[in-house]
Amino acid sequence: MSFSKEFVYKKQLLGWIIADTVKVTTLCFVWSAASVSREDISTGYVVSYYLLLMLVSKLTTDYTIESGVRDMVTGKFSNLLTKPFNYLIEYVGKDIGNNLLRFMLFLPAFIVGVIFASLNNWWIYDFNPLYLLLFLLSAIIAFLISFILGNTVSLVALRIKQMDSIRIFFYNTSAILSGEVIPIVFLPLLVQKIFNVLPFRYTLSFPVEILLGKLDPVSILYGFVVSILWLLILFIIYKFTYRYFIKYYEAEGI
Amino acid sequence: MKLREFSSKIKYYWKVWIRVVKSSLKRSYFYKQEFFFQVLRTIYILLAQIVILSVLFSDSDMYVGWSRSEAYLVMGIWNLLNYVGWGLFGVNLLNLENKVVDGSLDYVLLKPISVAWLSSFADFFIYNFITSFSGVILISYYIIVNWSSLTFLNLFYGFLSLCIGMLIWYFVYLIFASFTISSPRNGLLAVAKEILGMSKYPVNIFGNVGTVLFYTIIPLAFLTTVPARFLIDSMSVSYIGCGIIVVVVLYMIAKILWRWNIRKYGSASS
Repeated sequence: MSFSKEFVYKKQLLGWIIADTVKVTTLCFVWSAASVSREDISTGYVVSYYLLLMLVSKLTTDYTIESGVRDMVTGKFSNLLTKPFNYLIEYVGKDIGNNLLRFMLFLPAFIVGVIFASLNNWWIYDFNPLYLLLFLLSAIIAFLISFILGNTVSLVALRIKQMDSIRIFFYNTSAILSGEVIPIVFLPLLVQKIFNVLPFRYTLSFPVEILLGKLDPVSILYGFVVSILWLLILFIIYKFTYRYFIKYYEAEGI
Repeated sequence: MKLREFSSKIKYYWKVWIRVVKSSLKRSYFYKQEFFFQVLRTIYILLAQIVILSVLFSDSDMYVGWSRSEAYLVMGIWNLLNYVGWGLFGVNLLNLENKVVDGSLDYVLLKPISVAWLSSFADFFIYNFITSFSGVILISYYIIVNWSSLTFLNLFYGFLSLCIGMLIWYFVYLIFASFTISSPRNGLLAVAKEILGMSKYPVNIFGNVGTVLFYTIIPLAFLTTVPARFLIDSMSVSYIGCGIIVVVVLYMIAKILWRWNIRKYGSASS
């Protein structure tokens, strides 16, 4: 349903894909210029990292922080509460539909990017079935962490109706901490350690790092343990947040 | 006579805008927590940008020929243009889409005022304005650090080119937003946002081809790099002239496209 609904606005989706391409191109230039003074990071790594990051982001993004907040503020959330299943199931379905559509639409731009990068010797990905399998697993966890995080923050809208600042603040925070704006490999070791403990890395950067084969088995295992732990912790936080904020829901429109 | 008409028109639009600002400020009083989060966001943006630049400069004193304080200046100018832009017209032009979809643009068309102007400045968003202080802080940092080497001309031309940059920013946004009228939900404003976002960094990062491109066909250099260069060292005054030409050209394009798209507007409510 969400898939066909989103497909109505094909031009909008195309616009978003172009916007994403502009964004990834800018970031490639910014960090490629920075990699010149680094011996351990090549331009190829930066380009491959950002191409894969954009592709992964099409699979792991959560849209609840926009659509869910809208439901809560306008009172449409009441419909979801009266249904005989948890509202999160509907939101998960919507997210998967949206992500699949965006993934498919981004694929041509990604392929063009890979061809361009390969022609310039900037595509450093080596196919490895084990890494691919681990990547798929990490991408599922990334989506779930993103989803729970987004839904937890959205719940604030049950009490505070003006959510723009909080939403944008959340976007900015996750963009920085997930490795989207700054590839984690560029950070000093101490900061990298802090980023590795926080949940945001596991929503975007971690699956890409696995795919690029830059992590040793211990780091991969550590990453999976931390991300699964965060998934559990965030789910518990979500439960408590829901119980607290639902008391303030005023069901506008009834 | 024409000059008198023009000045009375300016006075009229100024009065309307002051009313808009007053009513927006009254409304913003209702959302006190929004103010708190916006201040928090401003601090966060500032810290995040300092972190980004610190990482970029971690292994070298120069980044594509720019020193750390110069890079702060470019980012500060971008913050100022971006968030002042959002406060003045960005959100309004973003909301134009909803007006087209629900047909409320019809009411705007009926008013005895420029549609493009009212669509751009119908509301004032104080919270985005607050975030622009992150830009003021970064620019002030550069001015304080380099106070001894700054001349009056640096400051004068820097300010002038900053105003030109703001106008370019507005017309680029207006051009992209105008297509919303004939074809809503086209995602073009997201494209505009990312294109303008490219000017957050000095244009030199895009290599020689990019630099030429951003000084000519896509004049992004006039947004941040040129004002920064005017503040840093003496740049040829001809760049001010070029900037003014770019503004005039973009104004003409925006005007033509706006009218063209208005003609294709299919009212949803009638």
